[in-house]
Amino acid sequence: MNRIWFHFSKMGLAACLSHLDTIRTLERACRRAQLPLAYSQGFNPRPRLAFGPALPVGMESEAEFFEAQMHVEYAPLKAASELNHSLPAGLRVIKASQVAADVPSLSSLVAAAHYRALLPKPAQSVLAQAVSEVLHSEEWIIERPKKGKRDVRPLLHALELTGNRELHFTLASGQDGTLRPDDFLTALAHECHDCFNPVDARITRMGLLIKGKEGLGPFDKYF
Amino acid sequence: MLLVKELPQLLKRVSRPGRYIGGEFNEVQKDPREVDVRLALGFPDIYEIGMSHLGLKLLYHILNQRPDVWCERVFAPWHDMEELLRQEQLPLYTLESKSALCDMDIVGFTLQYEMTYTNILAMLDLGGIPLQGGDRSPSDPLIIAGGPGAFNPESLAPFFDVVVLGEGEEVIGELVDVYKEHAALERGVGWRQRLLQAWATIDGVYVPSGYTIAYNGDGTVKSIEPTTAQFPPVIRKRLVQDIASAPYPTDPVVPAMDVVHDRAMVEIFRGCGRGCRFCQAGTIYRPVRERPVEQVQSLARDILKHTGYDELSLVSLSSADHSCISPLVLSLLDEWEKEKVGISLPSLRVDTFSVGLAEQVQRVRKSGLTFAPEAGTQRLRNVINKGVTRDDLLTTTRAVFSAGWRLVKLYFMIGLPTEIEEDVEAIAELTYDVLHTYPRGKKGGKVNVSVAGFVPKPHTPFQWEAQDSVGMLESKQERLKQRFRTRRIDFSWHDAGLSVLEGAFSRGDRRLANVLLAAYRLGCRFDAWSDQVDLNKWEQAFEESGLDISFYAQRAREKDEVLPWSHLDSGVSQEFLWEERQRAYAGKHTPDCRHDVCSACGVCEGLNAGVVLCGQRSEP
Repeated sequence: MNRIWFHFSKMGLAACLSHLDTIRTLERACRRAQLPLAYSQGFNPRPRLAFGPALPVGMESEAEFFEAQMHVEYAPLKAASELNHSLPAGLRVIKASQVAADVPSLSSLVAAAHYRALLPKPAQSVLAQAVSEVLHSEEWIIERPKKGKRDVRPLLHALELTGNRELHFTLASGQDGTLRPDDFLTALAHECHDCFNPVDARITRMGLLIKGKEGLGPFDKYF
Repeated sequence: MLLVKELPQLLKRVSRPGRYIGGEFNEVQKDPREVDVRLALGFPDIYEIGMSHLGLKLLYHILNQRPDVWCERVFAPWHDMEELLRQEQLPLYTLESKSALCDMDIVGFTLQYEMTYTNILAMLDLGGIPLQGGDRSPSDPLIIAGGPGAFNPESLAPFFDVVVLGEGEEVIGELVDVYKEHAALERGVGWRQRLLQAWATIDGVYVPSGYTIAYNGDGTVKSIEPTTAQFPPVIRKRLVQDIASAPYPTDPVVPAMDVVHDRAMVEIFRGCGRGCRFCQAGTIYRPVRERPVEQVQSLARDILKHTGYDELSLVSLSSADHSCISPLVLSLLDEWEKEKVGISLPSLRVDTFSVGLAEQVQRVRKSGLTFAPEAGTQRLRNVINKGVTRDDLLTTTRAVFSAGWRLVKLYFMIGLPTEIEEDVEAIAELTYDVLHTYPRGKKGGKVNVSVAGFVPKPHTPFQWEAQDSVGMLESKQERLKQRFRTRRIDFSWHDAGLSVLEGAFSRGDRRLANVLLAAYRLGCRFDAWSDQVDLNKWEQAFEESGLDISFYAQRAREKDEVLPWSHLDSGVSQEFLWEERQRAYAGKHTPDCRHDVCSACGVCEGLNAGVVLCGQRSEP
């Protein structure tokens, strides 16, 4: 059994594809690339693929990951190259690496995600103030329609406004809780009295983080 | 092209934005400066529906094989996208290059179903193209139509420059070649007219503006006359006799989004020899031409390799009817099982052979098997020439249930010619009989029964019939609803108002174009979707146009009446159709011309064609 992890990007119009669309596309791309996939048993055999955290529709990403199990040894570099010839526009494999059998699953390892949001217009100072306030508070209660209130401050690991149009933030994503970037931006906009329209922000997932002994660390140590 | 950068952000405002992005695997990209002709193929429904259409894939493939042509795709925008386009003042664009539809040289639409016609108008309008052919200038694209609706496109006549009858594989290239000749000339006054006249000389090409329709006092058609000698009095369909030598799309565009019928498709034969009298497809696609087994196997290999699909569908009007279906299916199962590719047969005959076949292909009995008895009594089945007997059906469903399926789906029609109360009641009886073939005492067992209102179609023996009124259809549906009040039977029916609307347009004449235009302006879209159609607006559209829907739908036609499609020839003679109508009323069976006696419908003689079985031409 041979586990290969792929790091890929989802850019441009491919951002309009849902997580399920992406899964379907990857599965077919693996078949087109004639990768020797391992299949599950039973009446309806499925290829053994596993995916990283779902990305909401409309967001680009430079940090998407999926795992494919092969039933024979197969060079990750070759797999990456073959896949890149079989992918539609906007999806591209950046790196591929073999992963040992005892390494936990992708989804169980991921603890957080780093995002970048580009605001359509330069933000006013109210935004810098709101950012500072949020960072300095111990609690941040937000309310979602039909979902009630929750304290999301523990789910926010980092937040920075660079220049006056670029927000960088790291949100929890995984088994210990998840804060969606669009929900985060909506809440932040609310904090600065709607100083920007969260729907118009262009969000890109920049990286994934895993929980290590010294806190959150980069995911690509596995590559 | 200028909107590509803003598209991802704009599309955040609409549902299922994947419909509007293109970029799929096997999409064809070309440099517009290197081609002579740019075309767009338009499917008048949303992406998820249109992407399953084999005809679109076929023409896309044929056109893009030519280095001098670039063919792109465009689908109907959903309401939220139409709103977005209008708000942002953006044109409807092609998926490949994101060019405005009006930037194309030629735009082709497929006429699949009358209730998609308002979408065509929406697509033209949003694409920046004048709706009326008469209003188009030399810089506007030429608008062409094809598909089954081409056999009566009269309600669309003012909106289309050209309509192509029959199979498009060869004629599309001919149209492009003639276009190129004219494109090289100066586009002054009369340029369009000269091009249309040149196109009219190609077999199978119908130029609606080349004909004037005169009407009698009673509203029936008096005459359909060419305006000049350059337009032929009758246009006959095109036929590809040797489909095995014709091109086939082996690298179709693979959608990333979830679309209907999302699998590799190999067309295993064209046409159908059964001669069911209500069926238009059975007439217009004659004669039957089957692909040889080796070719199906080879096409399957190529398509699966180029697409990565894990399911293969054998497509035709009645797949289990292919003369070599058994060895074909067994060989495909043999070849593809280890690659984890499943095979599916969309439609089945009512016999245990088909069940055996289905058992082979459907490893997991997830969905039910579907059968179409269409009528409840043997008498009525004989009228429509559907040879299925009650015994056939029950033996088959018994076999289906004992093979492990828990669900059977049945299709029936109400409103068929000569139908009486007893026939409607028999639908219920037969359905229960089918349900009772499920093993006693075993848990489960269900029948889904779907009952559609019969719509008389042009170019069929029933083209002269009166359609049931809305009231008649509804009372029959109500009767059946009462009879089917059990959890083990799931009864579904089609809105009677929609059936009658379809009935009007199916046999409509040119005056209905006004109704269509009015309905479009009132906001009608996606009328094929029962939860979208607004029958009140359609009623208003008829009123505004001063036309009576029942004149088109409920009126029985006289034998000698000039039908609005009399100038369009499917190859099957009017004499044959009338003869079949008489045989229907007498309850006489007409055998399948593939294996039995030739019924002299006229198509083989008139088009110098013949039935092809397993790739071999057979003599009558």
